[in-house]
Amino acid sequence: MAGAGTVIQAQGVDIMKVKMTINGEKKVFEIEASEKLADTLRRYGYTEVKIGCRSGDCGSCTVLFNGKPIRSCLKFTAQAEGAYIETVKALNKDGIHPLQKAFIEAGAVQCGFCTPGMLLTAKALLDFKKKPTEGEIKEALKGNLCRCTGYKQQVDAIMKVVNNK
Amino acid sequence: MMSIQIGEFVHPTSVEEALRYKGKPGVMFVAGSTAVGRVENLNAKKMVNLLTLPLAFIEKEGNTIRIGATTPLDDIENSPAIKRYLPVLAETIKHVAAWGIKTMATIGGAIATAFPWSDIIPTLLVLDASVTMSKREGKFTLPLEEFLPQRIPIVKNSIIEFIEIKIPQVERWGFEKYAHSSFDIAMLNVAYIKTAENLKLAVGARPGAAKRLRSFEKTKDIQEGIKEAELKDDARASKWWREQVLLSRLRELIS
Repeated sequence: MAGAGTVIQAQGVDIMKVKMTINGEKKVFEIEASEKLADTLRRYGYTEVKIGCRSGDCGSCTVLFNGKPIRSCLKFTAQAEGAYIETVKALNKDGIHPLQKAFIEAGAVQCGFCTPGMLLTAKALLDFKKKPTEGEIKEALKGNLCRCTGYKQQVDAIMKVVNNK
Repeated sequence: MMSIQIGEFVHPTSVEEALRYKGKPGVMFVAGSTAVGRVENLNAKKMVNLLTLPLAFIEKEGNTIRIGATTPLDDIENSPAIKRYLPVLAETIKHVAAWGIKTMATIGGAIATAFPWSDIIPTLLVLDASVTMSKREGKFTLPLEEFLPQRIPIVKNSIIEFIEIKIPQVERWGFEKYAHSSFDIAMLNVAYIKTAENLKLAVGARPGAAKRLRSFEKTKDIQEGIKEAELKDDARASKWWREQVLLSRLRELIS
């Protein structure tokens, strides 16, 4: 991570190059030092990363950073040199992911804005814990706010995946 | 309207290298970015990334646990050593914010910012944690309780390296957070440990900064404890409510 980014000058603004792996593909992004990861990802076409509050409260911008959920609206992109990033599109690389299928079947998606963050947090939980309890699912999801569903459908969907494992 | 201007990001790989930037005008430091990342108006010539320092570690040496300053809270909560030797700290972190924040927020950031509602600080106070830092002249260590009130001038010229905790022989421990929701900041929080010899208790979100109730620890006088806590009103809870909650906790603890 040392020496992250080559600094070049473009129109009076320092531009850094940052390398990371996104959904399995190696990428080099040109960024300004002040840029947040959510903005960089969206600027490069990863619009599945949603920006809600920009203060780390809502969880819409959740991505997996080396396998763990983070708030990409708070993270400076310059601190992501060498990181392995997963957006929700990483889930359906080989067809629909069981979590996505369960979300659809349980009616856990309404407006859909929180769904990428919810799915990624759920994926990380199941990666770390094969059989989480309902309480552990609620605990993991508590920072991903949903203003449509009331949360029951998401918890039910994840429980369904857990019970089918 | 947000205005974030950063001239350059630098990534030091040693504490010595990072110290070269301390005290320089226009230079800011960032670790987990859960606090700096929320700032809406920021203008820095240089932003120094502390995450490239080799300070993310949890180690046990004899009867002592050391936690590096850039260790994320999530790693501490899930560390087998912390769960085994300092369960009150693991339990406390369970109540902090959300998973996606705890994977970013660092223990060094928690004590450098020392928000009055911090859940971690009351627990570190009852564990008699100490803070080891480096400045250009060398390393130095302070008890957390001494560090907190003078942290702003101290961190201007120092890098927090690690927190050290002597493993206590605890008979009973607890951390209780009272908040409007599990994701909200505390309206009051209480950490305690009971050993064979004594009781150690700290209160946070008073709404002022967390403090040990040292007179209460000695006298076990509940009214003295309430007075010592210096609870006040704020938008989240009234002084009366805070006093009633603390009263019931103190009663239960000495019964």
